Amino acid sequence: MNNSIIIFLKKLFVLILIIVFIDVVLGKTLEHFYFKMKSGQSSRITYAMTQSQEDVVVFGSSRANHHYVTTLLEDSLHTTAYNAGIDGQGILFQYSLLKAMQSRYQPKVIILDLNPDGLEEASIYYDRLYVLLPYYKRYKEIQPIVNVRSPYEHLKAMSTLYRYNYFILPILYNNILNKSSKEDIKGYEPLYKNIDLTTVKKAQKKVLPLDSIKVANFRSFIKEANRNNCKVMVYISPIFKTYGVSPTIAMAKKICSDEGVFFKDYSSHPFFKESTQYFHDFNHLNNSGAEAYSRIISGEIKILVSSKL
Amino acid sequence: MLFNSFQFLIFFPVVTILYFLLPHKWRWLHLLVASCIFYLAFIPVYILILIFTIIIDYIAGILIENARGPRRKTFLLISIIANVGVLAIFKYFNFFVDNVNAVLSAFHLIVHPLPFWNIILPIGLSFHTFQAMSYTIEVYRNNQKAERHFGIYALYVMFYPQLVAGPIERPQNLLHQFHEQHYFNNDRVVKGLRLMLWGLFMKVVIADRLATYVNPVYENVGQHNGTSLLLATLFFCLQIYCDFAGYSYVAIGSAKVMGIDLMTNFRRPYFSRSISEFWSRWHISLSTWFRDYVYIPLGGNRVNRCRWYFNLFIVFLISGFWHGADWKFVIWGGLHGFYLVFALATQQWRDGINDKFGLTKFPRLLHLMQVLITFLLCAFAWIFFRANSLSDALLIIKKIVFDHGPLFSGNNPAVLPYCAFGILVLAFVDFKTEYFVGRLLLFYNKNIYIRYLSYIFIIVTLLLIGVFDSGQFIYFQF
Repeated sequence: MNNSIIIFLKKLFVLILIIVFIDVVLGKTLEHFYFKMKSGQSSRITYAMTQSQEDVVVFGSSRANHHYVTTLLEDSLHTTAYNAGIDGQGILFQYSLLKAMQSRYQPKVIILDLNPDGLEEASIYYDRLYVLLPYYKRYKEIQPIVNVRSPYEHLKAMSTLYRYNYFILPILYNNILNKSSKEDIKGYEPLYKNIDLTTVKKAQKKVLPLDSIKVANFRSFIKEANRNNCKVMVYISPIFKTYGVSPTIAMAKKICSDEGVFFKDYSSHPFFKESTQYFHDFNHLNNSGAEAYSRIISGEIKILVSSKL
Repeated sequence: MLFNSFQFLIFFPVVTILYFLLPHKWRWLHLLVASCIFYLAFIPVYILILIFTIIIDYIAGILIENARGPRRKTFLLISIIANVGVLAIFKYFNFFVDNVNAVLSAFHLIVHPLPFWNIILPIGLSFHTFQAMSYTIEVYRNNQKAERHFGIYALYVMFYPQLVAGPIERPQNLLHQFHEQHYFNNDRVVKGLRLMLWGLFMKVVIADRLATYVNPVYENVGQHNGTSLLLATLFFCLQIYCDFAGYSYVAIGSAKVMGIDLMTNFRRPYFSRSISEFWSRWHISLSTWFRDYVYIPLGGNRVNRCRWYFNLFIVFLISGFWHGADWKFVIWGGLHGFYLVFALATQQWRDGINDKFGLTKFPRLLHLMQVLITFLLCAFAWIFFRANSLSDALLIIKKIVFDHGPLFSGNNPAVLPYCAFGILVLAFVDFKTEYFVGRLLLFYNKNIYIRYLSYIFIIVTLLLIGVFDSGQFIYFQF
């Protein structure tokens, strides 16, 4: 091997060594401050993953987060509840969260709020699994799910900096200011405005084919949640206007029926349908709507789970 | 395979190490196989189009060289028709059908609309067909000997660093380099890696981050006000620059590591003082292609003034059409053509105004104004390029002028601060390269600590705030 190649390789080796060192040191620092965050969405995920002990846990997207008033569920069921609904997340995230939770404890009641298009093709939900990267090394159970993001995810996740790639500003912001701009009541985040009807006209939804990975994960979620005497309920919460045909709802209904799990679709419930005083936007109930909806379902849940609590 | 993918992170060192380990006589085959693997990573079946044009042009090149008299032109025409035909079928067929349907429908002559062809445009089609055409044209002009080695010719078209988005090479620059033996050269390898690193930074940290603001705004034009649309438009100017120049830097750098020089494609275009200067700094390999093979054969500037303006305008219309089968691209090209013709026609008048207002006494101020005006003219034209349709483009312009309101801060609160950071780094690097030649060096500093700190800063920033798995480069669609 000629001399210039050896010199080049030596320099390259030194550079790689420095990068690895920085990756470990800076990565560990970020990890420390990430898990110290007391506000913001990441801190809610951390709580749900690593600390939650509540008997009733609500899983879902922002629709779950803004639709299930935790205090009303607690009052009605006389037990503890936590709303683990996270903005913009789908069934892959919810299944990961369940697995991480079950590695610590088993909730007694699990409410899964499924989006009316939650099992259909939309690659954005794979990308959004980045929120799980900080937990990748801590919870081996979630690794196969996070790995669907890309074929080389397991190799990329070897870099600590990569795992915190999306979180530099949230870490700085939440550690310095340490206050959330959103009201958080045991996970439930109320919305107060009424829907602006001018935006509804533009909200059109194209029906997409079912995503086999999401369907498989939904089935796994139901099966694993349903273990150890836990009561599982799947809801489709109200939406301002229904989409028409929803392959997701048909498939979810079938899987729940196969697994003997309670399923109820409130997406076109006449009490909420196109009722402007109950909606914040096309997809989300406002606080009044969430309270009305939570009262309706807490009565239902009470009957279903009275023997478990 | 994308330069910003994890596959490429494995592909590139493996291909390069094998390249230097292999004896010279096998390197063409190694690079050809590697290029096929690179292309097959997109849509494998489209390699058949490449093979078709390679065979046609390889044979055409030899026939042109061997023929005498008008037969040379016949063989050249066959080659050009084959290449343009491939482009017409795969890129422009649906555009043609759409317009025929629209015209027939306007005259109520339509019973059944002509059907569209459900096809995805082959990646980089316009790039490799143009590169192939430049070969037969140069052989015809006796500027290049026909390549007798089929493998080397195939490699000329398929060389993976520039296969899907250029630079669009000329045979005189590239072909002979595949015949030459390249030894490992520390300086070249390091220079190549530096270019690749900066290119990746431009793409992953700047372009793809800006896209996280531009895309949601431009995809929902109706729901955003003029303030957000204006910012998205300015961001898009920088996004497309960083996306395409970033790609070119990685392409040029990865070829340089193996000892092969590709032509420069970008030279800080937004520091141009006129549209004509802009086109000597932006996508240089394409603008020189149009100059050499369209503008000059049309007569260039050695004709009367009207014909000269016509030549310029038509070249930019074609250039717009090259970018995409949509009227919005034609308008984009037409706007640039108009800018150029207007600038030429009003040169004396504008010089007079500069004198009258005493601007020539303040050359720096004049320079700054010219750079700003050129940037804004480009930004205006980019609206048509980026908008989803002509009606969207017109709505954007209307909103930018009349409808102002609170700024959309992005789908994530981190978007704008990250964008601002990326733009600051880009502005610093391009500004110092443009105006402080040989000073404030970072990658090229003699001090090893500054050099290493620069590398580390770029790599750590890539890992910390880069947008990974964001998808393709914008110019792949052309």
